[in-house]
Amino acid sequence: MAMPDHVYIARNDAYERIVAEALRVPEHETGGILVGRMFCTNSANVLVVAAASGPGKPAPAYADMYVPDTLARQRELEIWRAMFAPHRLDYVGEWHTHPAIHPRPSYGDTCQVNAIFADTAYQLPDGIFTPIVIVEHGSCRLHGFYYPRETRHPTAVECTVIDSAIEPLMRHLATLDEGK
Amino acid sequence: MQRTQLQPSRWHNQLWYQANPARLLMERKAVESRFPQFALVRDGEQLVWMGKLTTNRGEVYEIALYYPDDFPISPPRVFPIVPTITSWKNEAAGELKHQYADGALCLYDPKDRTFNQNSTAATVIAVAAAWLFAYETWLDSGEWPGLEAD
Repeated sequence: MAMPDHVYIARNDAYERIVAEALRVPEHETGGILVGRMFCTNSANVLVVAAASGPGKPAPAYADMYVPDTLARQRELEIWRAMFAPHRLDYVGEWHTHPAIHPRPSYGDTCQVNAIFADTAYQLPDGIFTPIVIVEHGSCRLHGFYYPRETRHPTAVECTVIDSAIEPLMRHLATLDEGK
Repeated sequence: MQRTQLQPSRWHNQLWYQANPARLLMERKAVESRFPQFALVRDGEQLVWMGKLTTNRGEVYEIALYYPDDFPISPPRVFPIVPTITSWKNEAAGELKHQYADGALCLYDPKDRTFNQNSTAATVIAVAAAWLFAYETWLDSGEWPGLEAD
């Protein structure tokens, strides 16, 4: 099963939305879904995150828990799928914020990931990308973590924010993708 | 092509012992019954067992067993405190033998899943005692007893 060697995150539709949402409620946990695709090439496995959502408007806010609005996020997932239809994007994971002293996935996060892996409603054959976002002194840091389905352990993964349009990158990676 | 249908989820940031107090009770009982010389202390928000082990050769080692944030999915990590142990495999390259770069003892091969999620810290302390025996044997003979992953 594939573990990404690298994660590329689109600046406009993913990273900037994450930062804006994280800074909106720095005292509460918040988060959202990540929409993208894993490309498995000869030389590397590359996860591209094309878009990110927020938690959905009615999501209740807690200091130590993020409970997203499922329907709002599903609607957003459908919009991104349609927008990037040729690229066959789907849900690839979930970002959420933590206090600065907890820059890694928690025990509770791992329990939630295990529940997702056990649920056939999720199409995550390789694993799930679960970056942790820390808000500190008015700025954000994103720590990339990926749970391979095989090990179910949060594993640090390098992330790069892509300033240019993400579609040419996905087109190029698709030509190299052995799974097509 | 099947696509994901999102389900209700909850991402909580509770510490393992807050989320699962029954497990903490089990850990306490297991360690206190088998290693009464160990004490449970806090280092920030992390729980740590501190105590001394005496080997067959009569050497005394103080160790610290740290529970990870995602315990029991990941095993506790054991650090030698006194004396400091640096088991060089290749000193020039900075490689340690059966120790991680931060000094934690390598007690489990991550690939073979020998750490079971039902294992308590008492079992990990027992494995650490076996590690110390192997370490002393290696110091004496240059051979590490038992299987080696590398």
